Amino acid sequence: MGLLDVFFGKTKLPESKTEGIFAVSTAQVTMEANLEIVSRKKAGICFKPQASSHFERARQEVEELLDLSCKDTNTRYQVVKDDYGYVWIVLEDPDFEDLVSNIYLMSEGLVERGFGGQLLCALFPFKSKDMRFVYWVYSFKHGNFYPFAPKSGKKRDSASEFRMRSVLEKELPVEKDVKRWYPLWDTPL
Amino acid sequence: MFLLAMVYLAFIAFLSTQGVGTMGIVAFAGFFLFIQYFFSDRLVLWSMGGRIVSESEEPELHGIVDRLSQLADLPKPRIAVVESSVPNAFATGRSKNNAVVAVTTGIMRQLDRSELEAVLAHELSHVKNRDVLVITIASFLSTVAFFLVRNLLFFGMMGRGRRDSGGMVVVWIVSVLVWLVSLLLIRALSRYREFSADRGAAVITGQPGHLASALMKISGAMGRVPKDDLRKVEGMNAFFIVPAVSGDTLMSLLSTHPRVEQRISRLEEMQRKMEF
Repeated sequence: MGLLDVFFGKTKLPESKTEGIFAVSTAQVTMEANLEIVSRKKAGICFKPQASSHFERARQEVEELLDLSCKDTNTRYQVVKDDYGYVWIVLEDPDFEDLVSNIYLMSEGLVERGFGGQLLCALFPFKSKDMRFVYWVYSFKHGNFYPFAPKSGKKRDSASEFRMRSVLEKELPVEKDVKRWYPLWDTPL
Repeated sequence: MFLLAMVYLAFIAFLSTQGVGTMGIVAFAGFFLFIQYFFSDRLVLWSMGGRIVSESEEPELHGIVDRLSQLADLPKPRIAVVESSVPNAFATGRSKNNAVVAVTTGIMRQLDRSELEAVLAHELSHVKNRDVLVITIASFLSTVAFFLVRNLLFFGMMGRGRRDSGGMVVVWIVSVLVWLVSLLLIRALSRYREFSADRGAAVITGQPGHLASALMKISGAMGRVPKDDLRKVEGMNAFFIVPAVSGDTLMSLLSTHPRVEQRISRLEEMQRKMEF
């Protein structure tokens, strides 16, 4: 947001950066080898639906594209609306690369149609050796990743998160400002 | 904004020609505004009786704000709750990194989740638009004028026998005028920022309708929407009472917030623009 926008109080949703998402593919290999954290063969993309027919049309078009692509890569997907009013597209595929490319397709589709600002994040769920769930969250606003390791009682396992960061910092663009490591509770993933 | 700056420039120019302890007043006002600006989060929270709540205390609020701040690309603000049945919400803090967003228990009870989300998005837009800074700067100069009015009143009484009392009176009248005009302009500025924050909330949530319904609920306007079936009403030969719109122009000039009807109609306009 420019100075003039602040001056006149014009809020805009920041545009989305989609290219950075592919970095997670190599990171997944390292995670498995070094941390024994494996992918749960799922991925999700989350966006805030806008109440307009333009958005509905764009969303329909993108979902049709996704449908074709998913048939091609043998990916299963479902659309879930969460309690916060956000929409999740949850993909399931044993091939991690297919997950990433389908998430990219979906996000790029929305960006091309002018609704990149509605994208919240992409979520890659993993499972650690002791069966705990951890996530890499892709932030579309910054084009980078941050770890999220939930514990029971809406607490975060900071130790795991920092460990994930330190191991993967070299191959994954990790968000430096921990204030922007927004938690994601109650996700369908 | 521009008008405001003009008035202040004129005022400062006038002050410097008179030179009545101006520096002292400016320093004094500056000091207060400095405190107000730097401790705005604590001051406001303290005066409203707000309490910062943690993630486990208010998971729903935190969940909503987490997502909204990620969408709007803001660092997550602290969240406070005020024990009060009056439905209200506010944002404070001098910068994005010090921001606090607060809601009353009343508003949490009255609104459903999507409406609460819209209200929080409105407050986050205030943070994003840096409204604490904007309003502080605007009030700085008007505070100078205000203190000057009080000072001159005081000195005017004390030094009644002095020769230059005529000049004093002129200074006094001018500062009263400036103070009045600046008050009106600050209020106008504040209303403008409110509209902006409404607009921001609609952009962030993508649903102008949610904020509109929240505003209606809060203002009690919901009760004005008739619930009875039209046929039943017609059968009873009832007439709808058109709410008086005129007669409150002075009030609307002085208030910090635009009228709810106006805010809702702007939101409706946004909704229309999104469609075309």
